[in-house]
Amino acid sequence: MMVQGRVHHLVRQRSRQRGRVESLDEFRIPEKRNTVGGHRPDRGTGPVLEPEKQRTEERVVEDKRCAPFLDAKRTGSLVRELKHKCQSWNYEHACRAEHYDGSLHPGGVGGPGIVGKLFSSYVGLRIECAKTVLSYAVMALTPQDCVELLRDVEGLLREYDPGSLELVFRATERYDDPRRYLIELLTTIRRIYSERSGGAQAAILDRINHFVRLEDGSPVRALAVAFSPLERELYGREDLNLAELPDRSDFIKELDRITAEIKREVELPEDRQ
Amino acid sequence: MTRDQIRQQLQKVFKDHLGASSATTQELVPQTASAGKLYEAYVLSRVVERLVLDEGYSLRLVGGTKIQLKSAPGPINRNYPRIELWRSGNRLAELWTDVEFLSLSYSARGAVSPTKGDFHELDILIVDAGVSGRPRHDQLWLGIECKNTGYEKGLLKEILGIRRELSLLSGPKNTQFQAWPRITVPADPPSCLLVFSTDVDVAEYAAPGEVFGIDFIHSPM
Repeated sequence: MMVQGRVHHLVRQRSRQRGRVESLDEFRIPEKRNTVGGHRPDRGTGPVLEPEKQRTEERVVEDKRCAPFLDAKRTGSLVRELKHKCQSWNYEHACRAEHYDGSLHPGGVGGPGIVGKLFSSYVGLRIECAKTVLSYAVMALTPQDCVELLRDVEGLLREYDPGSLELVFRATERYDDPRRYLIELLTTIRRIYSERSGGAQAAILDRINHFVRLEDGSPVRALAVAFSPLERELYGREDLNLAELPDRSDFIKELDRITAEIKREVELPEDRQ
Repeated sequence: MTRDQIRQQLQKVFKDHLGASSATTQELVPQTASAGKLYEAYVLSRVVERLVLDEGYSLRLVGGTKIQLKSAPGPINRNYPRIELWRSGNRLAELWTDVEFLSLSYSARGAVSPTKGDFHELDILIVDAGVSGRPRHDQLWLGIECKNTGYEKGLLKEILGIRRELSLLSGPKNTQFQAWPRITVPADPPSCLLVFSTDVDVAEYAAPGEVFGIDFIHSPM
């Protein structure tokens, strides 16, 4: 979502910057021709054709090389791989090493000079990609972040529904890893609030729902007093809910979304395997 | 998403949804109209707990999505929701609230239509599955009276009368239950009869129940 949009923006920026540098330094193309990726009417004519083709080829290769990084942002797996790699090397070495693996074929592009420039450009781009990815790695939630978020959730429960605080923490399996514990806590909150009653006698309906189910397996929706005809006239209603199961679908939906975001941002040990 | 962004979103979702929910639900209960039924609801929650944990029943609410306690008792109306007791895939009994049963004396007389003295109310009943109208005294498995008041002699007399109109005194007979509320009862037909009370003094009135098969339970809400 936000992260993804930012990556695309950065990559577009890098692409434009790269195009300008190449055209000026290597292909002797006037800067104005390259600012928007060659969309001028005279594009493809005269001396600019070949460099333009080269740039296109290059961009394709670059995009292919960057794609894993963009995917990594989504899945987290390559981000972690890069992080680990950069712990033992520095990230520039990491990028160059990948480059030397042979994904670029110097002879096919047009001579050593061009290759050298291209190489620099590629390395630069790779470094920028790596920087971008690393910035996301830095943004990922740390265990300390999760400890603070756990405190926040506890504070929110205490503020908005103190009655459920103890139940939530009692029902949540404890983990030493605060990232896992945070996810488990939010999962428990979701489970409890999807079936937790409201109303003055909510505890009674909650207990009933521990033991009684509707035919479809869903919880009992309410506990009510059905009025006599006289009371119906007096109170202007058929019955009175002592407790009910409120519609918390919006709350559950939002909580699911936030939990999914957190899962994406944390790096649980089993995800590395 | 950063920690601060997550924090802000959590704050928003709790404030928007849980804050509003609490305010709304407080408006639901005019205390004066519901006070008499609260204890009955509480006892019901305790009873279903025991039926599942001690007796191994699977309980299903059928005929509606809400449990309705009636402010005025009457016959079984099958248009109302009730809780079915299932075991091993078989529906064995039904739990109803605020239902009148036909008395033993009515049955003994062989009368055609009941008079006002021929039926009595119980707050919670378990009866044979599929019964409609006022269940006969021998169709009751369990009857419960709920008293959220100081327990007095008059209430003891009332429950002794109910016991009399449910069964005759006899040697121990097996109830329909395996553990809760009791396995045998000195009554024929062998229905169980319980009194739940918020008054700790209810224990002072429990002695006659040992003879006639009435269990007095002090259970504050």
